[in-house]
Amino acid sequence: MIIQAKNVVRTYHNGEIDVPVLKGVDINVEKGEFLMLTGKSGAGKSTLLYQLALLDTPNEGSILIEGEEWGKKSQEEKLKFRLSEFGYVFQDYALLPELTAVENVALPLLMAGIDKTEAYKRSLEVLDKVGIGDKGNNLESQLSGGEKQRVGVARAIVNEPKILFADEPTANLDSENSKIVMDLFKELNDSGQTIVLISHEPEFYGYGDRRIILEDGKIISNKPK
Amino acid sequence: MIKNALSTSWFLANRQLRRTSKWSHVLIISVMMLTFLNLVFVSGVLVGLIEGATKLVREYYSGDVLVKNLVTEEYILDSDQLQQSALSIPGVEALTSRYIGDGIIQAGYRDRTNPYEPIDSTGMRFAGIDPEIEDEVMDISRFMMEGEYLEDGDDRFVLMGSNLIRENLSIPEAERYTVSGVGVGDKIRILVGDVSREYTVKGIIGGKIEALSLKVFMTKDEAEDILNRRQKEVNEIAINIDYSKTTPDEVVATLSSMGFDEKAQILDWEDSLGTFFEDITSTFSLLGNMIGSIALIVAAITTFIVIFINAITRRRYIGIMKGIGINKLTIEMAYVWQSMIYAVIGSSIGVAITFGFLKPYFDRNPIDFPFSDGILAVSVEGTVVRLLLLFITTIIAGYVPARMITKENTLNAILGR
Repeated sequence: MIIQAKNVVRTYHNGEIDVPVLKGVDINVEKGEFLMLTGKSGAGKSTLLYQLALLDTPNEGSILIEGEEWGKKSQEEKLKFRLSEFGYVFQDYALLPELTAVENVALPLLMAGIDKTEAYKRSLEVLDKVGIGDKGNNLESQLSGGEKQRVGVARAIVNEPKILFADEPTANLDSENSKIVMDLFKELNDSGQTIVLISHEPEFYGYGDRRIILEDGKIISNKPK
Repeated sequence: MIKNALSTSWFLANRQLRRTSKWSHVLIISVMMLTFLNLVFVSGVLVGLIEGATKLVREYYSGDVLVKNLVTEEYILDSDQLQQSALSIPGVEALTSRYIGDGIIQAGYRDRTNPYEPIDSTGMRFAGIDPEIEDEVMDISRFMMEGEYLEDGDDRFVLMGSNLIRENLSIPEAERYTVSGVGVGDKIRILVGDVSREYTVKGIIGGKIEALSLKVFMTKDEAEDILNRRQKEVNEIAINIDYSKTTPDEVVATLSSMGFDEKAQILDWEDSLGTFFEDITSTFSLLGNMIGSIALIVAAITTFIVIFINAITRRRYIGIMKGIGINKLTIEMAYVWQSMIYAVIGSSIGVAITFGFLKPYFDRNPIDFPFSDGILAVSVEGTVVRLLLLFITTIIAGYVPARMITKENTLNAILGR
């Protein structure tokens, strides 16, 4: 088991009002699995992904990565861990506008101490792998939505992460580009990449090995494909 | 880790500088440049005002070394021997000696109709000079405003300091320290002790050096006579040196080692000015630094605002960078690099303008102040200190807003809440 979340509770405070978003969620992710998180808007999908990806800290419960408790570790430790072990694909691409595609992809490698030439070489290879090897020198403004998201995916996988998280990666794409991106995730998973992906588009539910449905902060369904 | 943070932050800063608005770069670099100029220029002009005055005194009156009689003595002891010894010191180029005395000057007495009316008079200091040598060494004839300079044998003629003539001063208190209506060719009377002598004013000497404009100059023979001095018992010896061969301090030390420090006060030109000039230079320097500090604060605030706006508008991207594992130090350093680049470019332009244009310009065209030809006093050491100040201020002004944004919760930054 690569991820184990036990009784995760997350409540946000909006002034004096407590807003419970996750109400005791238990979840396991196996190594090499493609897990789909689904559910209606406001069900708690993104909040659960933030807990699993160590971007947030649960009020209660624990997050174990390969058996080690990570939920309560410091922000600096989590940040270092995210750099080396996780990849994260954002819904709206989240590319840095002043960097070219290859520079965006190379950023985590440079931060990890990889030499610039090597980082660029590896980044171009990954861009090639996601099908936009010829767009390496383009700035974000010179890329289409689908291309931007493929750069986002390339950036998330360039460090060869143990787990790849994706938060509705096709939400801003047309159907053609959505399929290209989802096919890309499928290919990555086929080559052994563990993926946890949020989607609310039924046509892609079948891409996952397992689908969890969240409703009102609780898991209401947890079924293999 | 720090090495990675430094190189990655440089990478981010470099890309951001290259690919963001050129106008914001121009704005902040201009602020940096103007701040540097303000730091250097304001204090430089204020200190230059005093330096200009002291330079005039050194060049045209005190020389590089000034020897004066001890306060306990009426004149410099063994002054003839001292002059010969001074001229034998390597690097000493020339010297001139003067008798100095105090007396009363009277004017307008010939035109007085009422014998009971008080005579227009004032206290004054006079100098007995060898006109030819004094002019050769100190070039004082260039300050002649009217009439002619003294010549050897002009025993009943004097040069009148322009600031001893009431009409040349506009301050009300001038009446007590001046006489009225004296011009070239007029007769004046000088009283020294029991001696009273009448002289013809041969010329008016002025300029911005009080040591000239507040004195009456006469020939040495006349001064010897009126002061009842003999055997070259002078009060002042002004010595000029060749700076490539010696320094004022060396000449002072050499004369002192010969034992003349027991017979006279031997002062380098700075000490000869007294503490007044030193104090006023410090005061003006402080004033300049205070004004410069305000400029520095303005620059710090401007940099802070520019970096803060930049960071706050990129708050989400900062969150995303933290989300993908870029640490806070790297992000903060990226902003610090940017601030440093702004400071380096801005102050480099400032240095180029200061030393390439302003300093040479003001050296050629001094500012015409009433008591000085103001130059721009900028030293390499002072400039380096100001550069460092600007640099440190800019780094802090860049770091603080970046720190404020990066310490925010990563998720809140990403989600913009």
